[in-house]
Amino acid sequence: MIAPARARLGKLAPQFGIIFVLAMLLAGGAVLLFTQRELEAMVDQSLIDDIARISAPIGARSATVAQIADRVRQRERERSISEVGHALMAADGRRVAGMVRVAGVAQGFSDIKFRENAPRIRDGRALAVMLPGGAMLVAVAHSEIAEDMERIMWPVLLLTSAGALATGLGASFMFGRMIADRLSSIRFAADAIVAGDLSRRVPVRRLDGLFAEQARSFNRMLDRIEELMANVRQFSADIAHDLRTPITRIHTFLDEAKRGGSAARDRAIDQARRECASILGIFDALLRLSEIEAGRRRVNVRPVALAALVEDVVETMEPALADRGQSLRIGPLDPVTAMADPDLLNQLIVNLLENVAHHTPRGTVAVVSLTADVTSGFARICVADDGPGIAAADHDRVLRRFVRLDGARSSAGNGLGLAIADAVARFHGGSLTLNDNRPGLIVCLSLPATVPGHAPCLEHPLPAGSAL
Amino acid sequence: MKLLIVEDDPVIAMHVGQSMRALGHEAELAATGEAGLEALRASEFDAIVLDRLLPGLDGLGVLRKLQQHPNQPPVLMLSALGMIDERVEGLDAGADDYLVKPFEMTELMARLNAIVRRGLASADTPRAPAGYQVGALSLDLASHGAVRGTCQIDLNRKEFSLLAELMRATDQVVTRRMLLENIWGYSFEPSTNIIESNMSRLRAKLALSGQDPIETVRGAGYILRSALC
Repeated sequence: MIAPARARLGKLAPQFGIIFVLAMLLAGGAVLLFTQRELEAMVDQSLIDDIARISAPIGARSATVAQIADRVRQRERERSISEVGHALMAADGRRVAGMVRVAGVAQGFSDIKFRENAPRIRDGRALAVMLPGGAMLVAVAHSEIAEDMERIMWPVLLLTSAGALATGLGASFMFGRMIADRLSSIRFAADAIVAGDLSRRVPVRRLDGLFAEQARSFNRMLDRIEELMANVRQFSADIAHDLRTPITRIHTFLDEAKRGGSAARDRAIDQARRECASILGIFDALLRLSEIEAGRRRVNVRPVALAALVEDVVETMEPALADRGQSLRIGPLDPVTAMADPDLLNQLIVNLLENVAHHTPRGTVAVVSLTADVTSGFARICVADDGPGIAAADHDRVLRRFVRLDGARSSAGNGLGLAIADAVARFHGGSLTLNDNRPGLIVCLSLPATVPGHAPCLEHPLPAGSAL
Repeated sequence: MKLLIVEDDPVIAMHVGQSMRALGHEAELAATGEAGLEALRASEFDAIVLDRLLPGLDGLGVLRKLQQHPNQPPVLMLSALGMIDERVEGLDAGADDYLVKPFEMTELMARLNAIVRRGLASADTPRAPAGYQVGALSLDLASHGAVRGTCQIDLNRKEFSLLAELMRATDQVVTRRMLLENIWGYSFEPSTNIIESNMSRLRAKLALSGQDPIETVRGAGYILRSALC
């Protein structure tokens, strides 16, 4: 067995990967910006709080510059590196208190450069307020934490992005490969079928979920195709085989016609015509079988009142049987409706009654009945006769095409009547069964139906061959 | 009748043409759809016999072209394709009747008469009739009653339909196939004499009230003789 070539998933995987990475980058960038902004807001708030504390009024009167200066010095004695630094300047610009050296600070918030203790110039966030009397109090937050954060964050972001990129691309490629693998088994089966191996199916064992469903659907479709192909092959075989006899006979009659005088010629021509008619009969029957099995009769299916249909066929066939010295009666008829092709049902019952006509002697009595089984939801149409019957061993065989039982070989019919009846039964989701009528034969068609007032009608007829 | 026969197989075309002429009708032949349409433009015909499978423009195509112009003669479609959907397709496309090959010439003739008669009838009386009256015989479609002179005739559904069908085609042959299709709606060929048996019941009942007005036409079908009603 050749291993299935793994199809590439094309542009799908990289596209997916790129979208994934872009999304990750956007998300990361957004988080970063948000975090930064939050930090800045926190710093500004801490500056506001700080200024508020340092310049808080004492009792009902606002603090004086001297008092504020005291507080500043107090603060500086207590504080640690990471807190806020201060500068308190008198109205004339002279520094009054605070270690922070800063020049030209405007009121309000600003980003400044300053010195504190060390000669190093640093960056910071400043809040400057004007005090009554013209003095200015400046609180400066070191950006150390922010600086550190910034130093860390960008590399972290880059690393995360790289990780996301790798994961994204990797995941999408792996996902793509997994899909391709599962799909390839379907493709492989399809290729094999196109090459002629109709029995190939998609293995379902290693699949699950959506893929298993897909595979099962596909397999069901293949079953149906195989069935249809088998029908076509069977049809061709049947034609080839069973038409040879009448065609050979015509050949013979034409030879005789050539040889004999005019009376013999006329007779031979009549016989040849009859053989033509019988060939056409076989053709029509085979076409009907094909038509039914290929599902081409679905269009004709509609709700049918079975009692009326049965009555109609009996009324039709009673004279034909009476002319052969046989009698046809109606048995019980339950009120039942079924989704059916009335033409096919007519053909089925007519076929069964014609079998009675051809294969039972004068004096035979036949009864047609229609009964409904409420519990199973099936209706049964039965044709029972008290004729010679069929041996139990032949009950199944006789439903096949072109099977003629020994006694019947010389009488009318083409060996397809029961095959058609069987196909009609299966088309309707039912079955045809033969049984001993003791004496005689009873043939019953079972099909899904509705009894008024009981189970709801089946909306959709079952596909041919499926069991209920 | 003046007939147009559109059929590409020369053997079949000639056979149909000759048979028609032998019966006293005029027949013109066309071997393609286009030639048929040409002929229709050139002269008036009473009916058209149209093969389905033609080279170039096929039978269905010809029908569609005919639909575009009203007051066309009735069309009997011939075809080797006989499955239910193929029949329906032909009738839906505008054919007045559909006959599957091979066929008896009597079948073709009887059906041609029927579609011509239907065409003339629908031109005169567009509504469906309430009953039929031929001689002393009358049928009432509403009550399903049959009367001959002063006798009430008791008919079951099938016998009534048979009589109605024959009366509709008084003095014209109605074939077994036509009866099977129109009254029973069977699309299959029974292997027993369903039509004959039902017909003989009807004729027996009619014979009780006078002479049997129905004749068997050997090899063709049945005919109701108005003179005998």
